[in-house]
Formats: sequence, C-alpha cells, structure tokens
Amino acid sequence: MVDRSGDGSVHEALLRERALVRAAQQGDTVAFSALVRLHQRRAYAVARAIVGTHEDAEDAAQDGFLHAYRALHRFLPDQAFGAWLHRIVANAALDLTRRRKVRAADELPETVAAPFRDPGEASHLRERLQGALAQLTERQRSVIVLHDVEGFKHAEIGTMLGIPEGTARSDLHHARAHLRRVLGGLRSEL
Amino acid sequence: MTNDMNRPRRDTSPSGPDDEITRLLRAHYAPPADAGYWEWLEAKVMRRVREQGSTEWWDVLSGWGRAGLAAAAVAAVVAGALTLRAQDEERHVAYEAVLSQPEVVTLQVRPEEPVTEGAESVRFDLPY
Repeated sequence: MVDRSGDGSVHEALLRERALVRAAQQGDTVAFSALVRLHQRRAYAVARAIVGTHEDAEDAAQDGFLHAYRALHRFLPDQAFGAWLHRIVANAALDLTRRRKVRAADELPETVAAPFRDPGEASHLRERLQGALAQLTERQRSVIVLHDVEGFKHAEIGTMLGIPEGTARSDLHHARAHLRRVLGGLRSEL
Repeated sequence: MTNDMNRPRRDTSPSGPDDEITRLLRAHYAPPADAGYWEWLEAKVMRRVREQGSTEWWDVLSGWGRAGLAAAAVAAVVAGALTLRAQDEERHVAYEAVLSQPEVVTLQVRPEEPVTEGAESVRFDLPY
C-alpha cells in the first residue's frame, strides 16, 4: 500500500512508487530504502497478525524485505508492489511460525504474547482478550486481525495465507463469533 | 461506567464485527508509534540488504574459486591420464620395435656328402 499522507494524489504516489521499484530493480539501494520506508508499517502489521509477537513480527518483516529484494528482478511493473510485498512478508511470517512451532513444540503451551505497546486497557481486559485469542486457531487469529484490524479483503487474506477466499471468510465468521461469546460481558466492564 | 451515548455503535449482526472487540484488537496489535523505531527498522533492513549484496559478491568469487578448483582437478586427472597413456604408448612402441624385428630364418642346403643319385639330405640351420 502506498503512503497517502503526502501531498500527491494516489496516482502520483503510484507513479512515484513505480519509479522507485524500477530504480531498485536496477540496483539502486537508496530507492529500495525508500520502498522500505513506505511499506514497513504495513509489512510489520501483516507479519504481526500472523506471528503474534512484536519480536517475531520484526524478524518476519525484515526477512520479507530481504526476500523481496532478492526477488525484485521477478517483479512485474504492472503488479501492485504492496500486494506483492505483503505476500512475501506473509510467507516469511508463516515460515517463522512453522520454525518456532517446531522448536517450541515441547516447551510452551499456545499463548498469545503480550502486546509491544501498552494499549491502555485495564490489565484484566487485556488478559481476557489474550485468553480469548489463544483459544482461536492461528489462522483464525491471523484472519480476524488482517480483516478487522488491518482492513484487508477476504481475497487478499486468502492470497497472503495461501487459503481459499471462502476459508478466510469462514475463519473470520468463527473467530468473530468466538470472541463475541468469550468477551460477551466486556461492554459492562468498560 | 461510561456514558452509553459516547460508545461507538455496535454491529449486532451475528457475523459482523463487534466495535468494542475490534477496538481492543487494534490496541493489542498496534504497531510501535515511535518514529525512531521505524528509522531503526529501515536501517536494519538496509544493513541486511547491503550485507547480502556483499555476501553475494563473495559468493560469486568463492563460486569462481570452487569452479577453478574443480577445473584444476579435472585438468590434473586428464593430464595424469594422458601421461599414463603416453607411457603405455612408449612401452607399446618399444615392444612393437622388439617384436617387429624380422626373424631371419636361413635355409641352407649344404651337401655334406656327395649326393648320390636319388638320395638328398637337407639341413636346416636355424639362427638360435
């Protein structure tokens, strides 16, 4: 996704991004650095939705950018760079999750790590949310965060996670229903 | 207890998002807000990109080195094979030279005794 906070229109931003991609494809690392700057927040968010923890999201985002740099010569200019990058970052995050799972299979119960930044909620609410998230499957958790928090569409989520669009839709439905059920009394506590 | 009027409207459809839960999720998954963090992350990514670039350069050189070693090994094997073959040929030529020397078989007919009519003796003298 292109940074739209600047003065230029979306079209201008896209043109600028394409110019950066072309320059980066020709080996211009300054141009690639500008692409990193444009996309790193979103890349981090994609990774975070999949891996769960801030530290792993940071690693996965870095790995994703590195993979993207290596594969830059295969990127076609008529593609959307953001979507292409998000797929790569999602793959890096899924790969990291698999490796972590293999390493920690006998050590840790499935938990959702604490957030990097204090969300400002009462601690018991955070604990309840974490408990409810921990009861979801990893994929359901990724889907609800990518959709409801990051605003990706079902099809985009399906592409990123390597699942059919219908599965993403179904996962979202179940995840929402579960959180609603478990956190049902939340409103009375706010 | 907060004022109900200030709360975001809740989507009560069974499959729609719950505003309160979404707000909690957004807070939980919020990316770092510090601009310094993003500058640091960008710098870290670019350092890895540059390291990878230099690694690739060394990889190319070491690749060449490996190819050179392989070529040298092949050349050594070929040279050894050619040397052996040359030595074999030399030996073969030497044997051929020995074996191809013509054997001289002389046949002499020497009358030792007066030849009588109707009776002749023939004597072979071999060279060994």
